[in-house]
Amino acid sequence: MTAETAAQELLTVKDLRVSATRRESQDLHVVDGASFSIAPGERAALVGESGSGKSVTCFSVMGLLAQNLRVSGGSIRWRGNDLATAKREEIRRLRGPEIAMIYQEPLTSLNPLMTIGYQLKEAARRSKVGRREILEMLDRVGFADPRRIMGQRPHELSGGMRQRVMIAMALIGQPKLLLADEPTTALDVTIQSQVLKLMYDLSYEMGTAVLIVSHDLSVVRKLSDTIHVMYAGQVVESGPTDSVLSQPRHPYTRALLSSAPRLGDTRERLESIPGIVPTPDQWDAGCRFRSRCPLATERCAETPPVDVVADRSSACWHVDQLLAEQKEATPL
Amino acid sequence: MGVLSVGTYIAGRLAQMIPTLLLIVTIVFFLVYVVGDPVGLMLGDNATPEQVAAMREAMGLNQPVFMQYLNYIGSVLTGDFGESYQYGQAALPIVLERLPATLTLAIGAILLALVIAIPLGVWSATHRGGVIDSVVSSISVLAKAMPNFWLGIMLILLFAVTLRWLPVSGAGSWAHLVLPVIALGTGTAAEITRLVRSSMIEILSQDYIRTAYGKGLRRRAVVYRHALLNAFVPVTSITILQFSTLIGGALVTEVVFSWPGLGQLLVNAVSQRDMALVQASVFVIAVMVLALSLISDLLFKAVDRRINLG
Amino acid sequence: MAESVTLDSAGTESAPPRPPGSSKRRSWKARLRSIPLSGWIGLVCVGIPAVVALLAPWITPHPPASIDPSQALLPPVGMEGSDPAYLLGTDNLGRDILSRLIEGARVSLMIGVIAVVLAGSIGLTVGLVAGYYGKWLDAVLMRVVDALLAIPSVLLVLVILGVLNPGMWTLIFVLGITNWVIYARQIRAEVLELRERQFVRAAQNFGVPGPIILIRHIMPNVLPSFIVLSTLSVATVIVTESALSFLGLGVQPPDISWGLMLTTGRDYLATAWWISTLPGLAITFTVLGILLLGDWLRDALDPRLGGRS
Repeated sequence: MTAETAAQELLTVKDLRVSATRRESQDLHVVDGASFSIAPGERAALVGESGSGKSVTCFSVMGLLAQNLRVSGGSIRWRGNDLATAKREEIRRLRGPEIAMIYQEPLTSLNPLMTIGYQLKEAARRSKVGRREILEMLDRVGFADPRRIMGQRPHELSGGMRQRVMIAMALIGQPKLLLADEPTTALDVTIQSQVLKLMYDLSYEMGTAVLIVSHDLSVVRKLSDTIHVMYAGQVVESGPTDSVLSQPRHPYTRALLSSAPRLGDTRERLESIPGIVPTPDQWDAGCRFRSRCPLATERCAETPPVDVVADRSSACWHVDQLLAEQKEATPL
Repeated sequence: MGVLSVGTYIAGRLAQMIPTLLLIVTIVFFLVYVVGDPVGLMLGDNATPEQVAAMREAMGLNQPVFMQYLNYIGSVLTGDFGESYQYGQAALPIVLERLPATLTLAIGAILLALVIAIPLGVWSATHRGGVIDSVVSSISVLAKAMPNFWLGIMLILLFAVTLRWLPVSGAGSWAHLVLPVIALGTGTAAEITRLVRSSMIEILSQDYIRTAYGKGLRRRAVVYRHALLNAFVPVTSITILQFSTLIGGALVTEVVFSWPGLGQLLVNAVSQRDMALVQASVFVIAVMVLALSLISDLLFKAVDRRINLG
Repeated sequence: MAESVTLDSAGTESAPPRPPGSSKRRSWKARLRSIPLSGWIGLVCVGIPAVVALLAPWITPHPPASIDPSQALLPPVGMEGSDPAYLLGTDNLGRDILSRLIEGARVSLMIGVIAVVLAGSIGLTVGLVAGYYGKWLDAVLMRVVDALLAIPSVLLVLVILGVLNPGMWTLIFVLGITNWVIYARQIRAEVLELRERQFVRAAQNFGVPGPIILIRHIMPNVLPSFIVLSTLSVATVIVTESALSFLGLGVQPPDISWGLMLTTGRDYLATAWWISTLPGLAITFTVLGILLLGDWLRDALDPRLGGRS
């Protein structure tokens, strides 16, 4: 978030706003004021409850928003170029060799009628990579017999295998940034960490930065350097993972932490924060968490100040009180 | 997934066709022999009672209905539908001789329909809600509403009578085929356009289409390779179902253009009460439609191997 | 009682049936405004022939069957040699085209509506019974349906017409008994789903007899599909009727039908285009209206039928 370093950043999203066109009423903003940045090789995470706009943010970076959605404000700077205003063709050229993405649903993300080999070759051709490298890549994502996989169709593979194929497809062009939208949510619990490890190991070897979208703090804690907490279409807190999670500077981050699954816990969603995420038509200029926040006061109806301390930033009126409460709670 | 299982599958499907065909033959039999009066139909109103009695005896109509039915099924099994009194020949060969002309017309119409419908359907799906989409939708509703025989008459009026570009009717050259094929294919084209449009809209919202865009593929590659391939199954399925309707339409179109196919033969046979010919025609057309549905199923299996055989 | 209901219906209550009159409490003005343009076009295209058909005996400018060789082959008004008394011209026997079109509307719509009522009653009954009682009855009925779907319906119509004497009532009968198949299929599919719903299960648990459940609980829920299918069937029947009459197998002179008018017109294509052009336009106009009306009804009445996507 620090402006001085913008030149060396890979991706800088600033005040991003994504709007949904509605037939009978005014446009609805589904992301409204999201800012964060990613440096080359960085492992970043975007966390928050469902409905906070994490996936939509990812798709707007890729230029792959659904038809009724569009970027209506802010900027998405990719190595100096603003993708929010770029031509479609310019963004298309980036997909594959520069930015790649892994999706939530491996079951439906591959064309059912095309062989794995064909679909990989399509991706490889964009980055001028040949058959030998494809086979090598399949080997690296853990297929014992890459040649056989090439001739198979998606329905012949398990969910985990398909997600490995997706990883191979995304990384075949050695992109600079990999966006991973809840890549293991749809997978069997037993193989989730295996797939994640594979994704991170390969990215590390290639020097690819990773932005993972997740609602699972235990995953994020282990695997990412920085964390951006999203709530109701905004990034409310950003910073190095360790310091954000050990000393949150936003009450929402604290709430997420206290509701996070412990080791061995397999709940799918974080549901224990009282109340629900306000829907986009309820968003206003004030702090959007105030309806569920134990610290909320009248002042929270005003736009909270962005508080930048060293490599961290957050937006809350009551940081001091929050920090004080944490000090009390910490055992001596 | 081997040759053997494909063979077993085809055999199974062929076996399934038998009861359907039997049912059709039975329905036709009871219509003609029980509801109708075949002797009266054949001899006309001027026959003497003696003639009628002799004819009934000769045709075995004095036997119990059940025996008649068995006899009838027996002869159908040997391909014998009786003799056409108009032609004085066995009915089945006459029908089979006319079949190629009808098939030429029907296949021509289907091809024309596909050539028109696929680009139009894809175009309106990818430009959904736009001007072209509305124009295509309006034209296809209109084309569906126009009876094909009237369209045929209008085409003759314009291209044969007024402009004199093409022959009015008959067969024998490629030029003779043009107008009947347009008349017959237009309605089918409208139907398939709507289908291509709706399948493409559905397919274009699938996750794997997003993946294809995510790989940096061009729009054309995504639409015409990834999406259209997946539209192939539903479109082929409806196209083949349309074939049945199309054959029905061909019967009338043939009369408009004096096209020497099954349709003309059948309409003539019905108005002349030549029931042997009618029964043979119905049988042949039913077999054709059933065979087509089998072919379409096999085609899907070839394309879409997710569907398991059996 | 309550327990068995919840047990039976666990997870099947995905889309509860609309309680009568609940969701649509909008004023008639709001309803009118919600009709799309195509719906309006449909209403107009169907409305005109319908009104004309009802008033036919009083509004024909000439007796539709009266022959006047001295007035034969007059062109429509506006063309050289036309007579203002014959607005749309005359045919080869000097009969007034406009009057014949009006009378033809009456015949075509009457055949369409009566045949569809007949087909609809058969199809609805078969669909309800096959879907609700299932088992062997369903198996037998559906085999018949499949067999009938395997042959073009025109073919079956031709066979029956070969046996019976042609005429208007034969035609209605034939079209009625050959068009019920699509109803049976659609309604059966819906009943199969409905009979697993909670409200049907509850009625069964209360010991309500089958026929009552079918009529009171299931039939209202298949009504939207029934209405849409019936509308579209009228179009099919009108086209089939005109095709058969055109072939000389349907309506017989002196009765009048649009299809029959086309037969005459075909012989005079080179000299009197209006004889064949105008009845065809009348068919197209009416059928277009019915198709648009059907599409709109489908969208308005039942999202399950999946209208324009």
